[in-house]
Amino acid sequence: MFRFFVISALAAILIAPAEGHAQSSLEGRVKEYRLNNGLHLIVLQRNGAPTFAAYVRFLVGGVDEKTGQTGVAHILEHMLFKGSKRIGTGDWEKEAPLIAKVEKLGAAYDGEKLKGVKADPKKLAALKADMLKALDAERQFIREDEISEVYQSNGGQGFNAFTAHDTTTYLIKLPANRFELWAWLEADRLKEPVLREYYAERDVIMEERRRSVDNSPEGTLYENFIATAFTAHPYHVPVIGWASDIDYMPLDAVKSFLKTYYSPNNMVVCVVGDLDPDYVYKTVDRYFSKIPPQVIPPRVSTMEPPQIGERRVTVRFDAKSQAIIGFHKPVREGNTDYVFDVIDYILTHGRTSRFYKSLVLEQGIASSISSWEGPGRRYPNLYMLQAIPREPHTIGEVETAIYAEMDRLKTVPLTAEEMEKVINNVEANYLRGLLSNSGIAHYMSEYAIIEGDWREMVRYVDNIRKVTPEDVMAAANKYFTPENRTVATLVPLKKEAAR
Amino acid sequence: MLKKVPVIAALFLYLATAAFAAQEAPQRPEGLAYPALAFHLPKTVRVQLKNGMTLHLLEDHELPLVNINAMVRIGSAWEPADKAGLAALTGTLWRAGGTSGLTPGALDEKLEFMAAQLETSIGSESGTITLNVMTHNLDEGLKLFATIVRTPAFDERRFATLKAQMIENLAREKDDPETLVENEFRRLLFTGHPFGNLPDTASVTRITREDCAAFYRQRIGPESFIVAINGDFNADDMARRFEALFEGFPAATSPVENLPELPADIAPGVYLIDKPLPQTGIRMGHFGISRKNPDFDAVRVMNYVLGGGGFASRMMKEIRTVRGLAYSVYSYFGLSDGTKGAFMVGGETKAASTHEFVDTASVIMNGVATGGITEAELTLAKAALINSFVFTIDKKSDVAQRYAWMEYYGMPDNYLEGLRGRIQKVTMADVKRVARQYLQPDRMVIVALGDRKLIGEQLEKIGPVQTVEPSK
Repeated sequence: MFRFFVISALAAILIAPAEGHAQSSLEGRVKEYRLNNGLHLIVLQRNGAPTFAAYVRFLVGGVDEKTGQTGVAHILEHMLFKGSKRIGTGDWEKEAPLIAKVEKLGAAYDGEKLKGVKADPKKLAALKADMLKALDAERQFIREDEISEVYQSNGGQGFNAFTAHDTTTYLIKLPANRFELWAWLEADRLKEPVLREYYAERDVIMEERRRSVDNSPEGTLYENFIATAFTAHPYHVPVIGWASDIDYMPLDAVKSFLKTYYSPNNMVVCVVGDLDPDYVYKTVDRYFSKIPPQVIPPRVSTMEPPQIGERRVTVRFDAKSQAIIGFHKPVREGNTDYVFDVIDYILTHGRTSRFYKSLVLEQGIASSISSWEGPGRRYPNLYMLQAIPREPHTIGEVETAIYAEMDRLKTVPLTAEEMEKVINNVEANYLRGLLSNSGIAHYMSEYAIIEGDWREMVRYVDNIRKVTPEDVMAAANKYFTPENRTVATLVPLKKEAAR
Repeated sequence: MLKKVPVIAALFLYLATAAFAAQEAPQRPEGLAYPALAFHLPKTVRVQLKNGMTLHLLEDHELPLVNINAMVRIGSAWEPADKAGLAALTGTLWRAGGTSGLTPGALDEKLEFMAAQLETSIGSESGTITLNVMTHNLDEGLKLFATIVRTPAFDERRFATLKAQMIENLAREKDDPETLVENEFRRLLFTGHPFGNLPDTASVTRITREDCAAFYRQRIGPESFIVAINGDFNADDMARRFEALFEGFPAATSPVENLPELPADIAPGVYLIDKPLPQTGIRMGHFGISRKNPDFDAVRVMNYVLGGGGFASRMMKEIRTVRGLAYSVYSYFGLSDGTKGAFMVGGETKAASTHEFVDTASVIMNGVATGGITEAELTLAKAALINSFVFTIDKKSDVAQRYAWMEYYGMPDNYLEGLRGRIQKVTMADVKRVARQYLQPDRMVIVALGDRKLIGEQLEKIGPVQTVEPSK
């Protein structure tokens, strides 16, 4: 999502080699390495504060899940914070038989519960009690959240991870003298992770789902929206997973996902900060090179069939109305990516954007119109708008006004000044993206793993410049049609609650 | 603020010693040895203009950008009680409403064409004006910055739009459980104080364009401006430009006084906002401490262990990791500089475990308040705070802003230099004392947002439940 910023933030290198500024030669300063096991390492030395940011990305996410196991990529991401045979345990030899017992009882409990109304309540209660007892026995060896404690006590900041449809990403910032600690801990949890405390963590993830989806009007609307916009392609599943899939997810499925996809030949490591690239390479090689590569299974072959009519879905929720509108579009096909980015700037960026000027300021019917691209970029995706009406105006009025503005793109060419404004903003946003180690690491690693080469970004501004007003009109005519459109509308549950 | 920077010879020592020794990796991370991390704190150049405006300048020529972040003494803490929202609305309209010479639309076009970001906002205890501009547009950017600061026009039409939008947004805040429960917590905790007087439809409806213009005119003048500037410029040149741009900028007609004192006590109790949600949002707490309190550092260490230190904290370990009750749970001391802020524990849990969440959090608080923390916890918290100090200087824009902030709130000159030393000095006895003194697990405002049918009885176990209607 929000590739827009990613690309614009990284792209202006060739176009704006700002004279005398150290960052202008970014391309020459980035070092790339590939270990024998396929691990792809990208390093940028940046002399500033003695700190660094490290991003580890795996090319795996929600799209790689099987039916019935939605959310497994995200569950695995959580479980990678539970330690290893050396971290998170006081004595792995003693803990191992105890965790086996917990896992066996947990699986038996899930199996019984899956019988639904035929499940035996007494058996369920007994299994649960036994499992908690076994877990208590294991707890005498568990060191809860030890990996976080080690990082934090060494000054680590922003230790986190996120799962998307396309990728799974692990990140942290550390003082520069702690680079070897990073290598030790990350290689350790990749080599010998222990997925302990599984059943409690599954409950945590259910709470995460309630918080981000079930309690949230926007989360619920978006989940329904993508499930409607995509019928065949796995982009239609929520990354966090359907509630029942999370609730019954077998630990074996998580372990199998780990073994299949968390492999050095399926990952990109990006390190940005006050570190010598050669030192980074040698350290990474020392810690990661013995991890064997895996055979990655064939990727998703399902293609979303062309949409042949408008799709609409309604979500009733105790909240004020809003809508998400999306149009299918290709990725990496001709110059369409760049054309859409120009369109996006013109429609939604800033107070001079067409939607803001027309719908928010002049007509006063909308509170805001925002946009993004997604759910991912590995496969053909959507250009999406979120429309928030302003009382007393309805979502219907806002929708009509949005389409009127989009139709204008089909017949009236952009002016030279509008094109120039887009370029100016692309250049400035690129520079702003270079202000922090983590910003740079985020963009470079994302580019490398999704687009295949971080250097793609240096071609970006040139490609934007090549976009013509005719390209914009052609794309608008081709993609902004009712047949290619999906609309999800939130309808207030109670009329009186809408006020 | 103009002290000499101590030159440290071994600035990159850790790189030199990192020369490769192909030894075996240790069995545990404790076996790793780290070279010393030597660095110095960059210092801003402090300049006071003739009109009283203060600048903190930090040159940084890495990128062709200039970044300005100005703070000024104004805030919702000083808005009239019946016009809550005036400060926030003035803060938005200030930039959006154009200038004496430029209509709002023309100003927008000028700024966005050169990809400059100029924004204003007013919070509870300060206002900020920011500019981010590419170096080659610096002249024009500074001119617009000064014009906005000095002669905003508060355009009538933009005012009407922004006011309508604010009313719309207030209604939509109630759809977001996090915002709703947090706002109601603040309202209940700070009843009778401006911190608890939050905007609602009625208070915003009463605000006029003239109110905004007057609020600005009375409060905004050069004498309370602290301006942080970092990026690609020459400090002397920038100081001269500011002197010229702000010459004759008149003083505020009615500068703000000290913050009103908080009421003597809170109204502890259990409050329920009834909304049929599967997950209950919880906020519980009481008054906290001022940032100027001499116990601030000890409280930071204590709260790190309690619920401020993420996965290293007791709240997170017990409520999330062990019990699986919540995705997020934390405790927080903050954030007022003029008076005590709030101490707050927050999180969310499925309706069925509402009581268990509140009860467990209270037990954890009580444990720290009466039993203190362990040696291992103290060591970890102090190491974390000290070792992460280097991130204070991770971004140059943060550094300049930090010095401006320190001056705005009257912190001592050596506040940053002394920070690690002060944390190091915090003892077990200090932590015990501040825990006993500042945590009151038995006297809290406890607010739950959730489904009465599912959580009403659970809440009654904590105390008599008062139902709260969120204001319209």
